[in-house]
Amino acid sequence: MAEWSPNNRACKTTWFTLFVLNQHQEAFPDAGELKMKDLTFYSRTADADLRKTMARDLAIAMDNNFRLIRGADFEKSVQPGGAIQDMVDVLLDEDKTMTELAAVNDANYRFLGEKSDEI
Amino acid sequence: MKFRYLVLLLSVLQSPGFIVGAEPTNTPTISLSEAVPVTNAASTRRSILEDPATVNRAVRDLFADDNPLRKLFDVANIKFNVFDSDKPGKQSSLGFSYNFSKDISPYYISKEKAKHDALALSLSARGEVAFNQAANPRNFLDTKASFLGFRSRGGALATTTDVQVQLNALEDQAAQSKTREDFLKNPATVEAARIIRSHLSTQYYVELAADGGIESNQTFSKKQYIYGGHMAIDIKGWNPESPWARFNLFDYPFAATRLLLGNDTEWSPRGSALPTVLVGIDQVMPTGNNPRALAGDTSDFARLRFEASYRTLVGHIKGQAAFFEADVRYYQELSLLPTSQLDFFSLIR
Repeated sequence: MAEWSPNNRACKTTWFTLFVLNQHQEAFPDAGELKMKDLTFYSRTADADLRKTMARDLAIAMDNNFRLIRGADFEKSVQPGGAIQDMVDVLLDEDKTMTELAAVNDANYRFLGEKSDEI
Repeated sequence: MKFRYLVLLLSVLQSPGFIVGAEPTNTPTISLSEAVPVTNAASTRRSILEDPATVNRAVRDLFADDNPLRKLFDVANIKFNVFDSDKPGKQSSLGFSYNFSKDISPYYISKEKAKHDALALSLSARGEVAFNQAANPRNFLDTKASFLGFRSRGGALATTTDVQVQLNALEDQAAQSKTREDFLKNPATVEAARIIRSHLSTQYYVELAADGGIESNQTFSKKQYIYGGHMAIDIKGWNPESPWARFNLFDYPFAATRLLLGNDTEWSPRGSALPTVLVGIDQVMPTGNNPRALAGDTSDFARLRFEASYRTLVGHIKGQAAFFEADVRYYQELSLLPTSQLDFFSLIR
C-alpha cells in the first residue's frame, strides 16, 4: 500500500495538478483518501464508453501538466501509452484513491526534485 | 478453499430461511429453516436483501488482496445487488452486476509532448444478473470490443526550469494547509494555481472507433449482434481566461452557486465543465423474440446513438462536495420507412 506523504513529490504533484484541473478542492492531508468517484470528471450516470473517454482525456491533461509545466519525465523504459493507461485504469475504478493514483504516477514519472526513495 | 466458502455463502444466502449468525446444530435431520423461527429467518433474509453492501464487504474481507478470486472481483467490478421484479407477486432477489473494461496499452504514433496520437484496443463487458430469473432486470448484458484511434491537441504550454522549481516550492507551502478553507486561501495555493493556469490551454480530444459485440438478455433468449463505429469529442478549456471558460453557459448556474457558497472568490465559470459527446452508428442483427420480431420484422437495421454527459461542482455543502450531473442518451433506428413507436428511445438522467 502506497503512503500518502507530504515528502513525496508524486503525491503532491498529483494532488495539485488535479486541483488546478478542477477535479477537487481538498487540502493535502485529506486528499489521499479521496476516491475517483469523488473527482469532478467521474460521471456516475454516463455510459462506460463515455466515462472512459473522459478518463483518457483527464489522464492526457495530467501527463501534459507533469511533463510540460512541472518538468517531469518518464522513468526509464516507461512509454507514454503505458503511463497514461495506468492512470486511466485507476481513474475508472470508482473506489481507488488519490494515493493509488499517485503511486502509479510515482512509478511512471520522474518528477522534478524527486528523491530516489519515494514510494 | 476460500472459493468453496464463497460458494457456500452464496448458496446459503439463496436458501429460504437462512439466518445470519445462526448457531450450528447437532441435529442433522433438522434443516435451518426448521431450526429457526420462520419469522426470524424471513426478517433476516429480508435485511440481507435490503443491505447487499454487507455481502460485498464480506466478500472483500474473505479474500486477501492478492487472491485470484478477489482480483477477478476487482477487475470485473463484480458487486452483489438486490433486484426487484416488476412482475406482480414476485419477490426481490439477490444478484450481481459486473463491469469489466480494459484497454490494451495504446500504441503512440506521436512522440512529441502535448501531441497524443495513438491506437488502442478496448474490451468491455457489463451487465446485471439476478439469481432468481424472474427478477432479472430488463437491461441487456453488453459485451464489446473496440479498435480505436484517438488524438489530443493542446492543454498545456511549456514552462522554464526556474518556473518549475518555483512551483515545487509553492506546492510545498500549499501542502501544509490542514483544511480546505485554509488551502484555498493560502497565498502559495493562489500563486501556484495562477502560474499553472496561465500555462494551460484548450485541449481538443477526438476518438474514432470501430466497435463489435453482442447484447443479450440474461438467459440469452433475446440477443443481437452489433457492429459499427463511434466518434467521441471532449473539449476542455482548462485556462480560466479562455472563451470556452468565460462563455460556458452550461456552467453559469453553478459558477453562481460556487460563488454563493464561498468555493470561488470570484465569478469563475469553468471551461473544464463542457459536455462530452459521443455519436455512433451501429448495424444491429437481432435474433430471438425481440419486440421487432413480434411485430413481424426480423431484418437487420441501422441504429444511431447519441450521448452527452456533463458534471460540475455545485459547491461544498456541510463539508461535502455536491455535484450536478446530467446524461442524455438517444437511440434512433435509421430507416426510410415511416416511423413507428419502436424506432427510437431516449433517456435523460
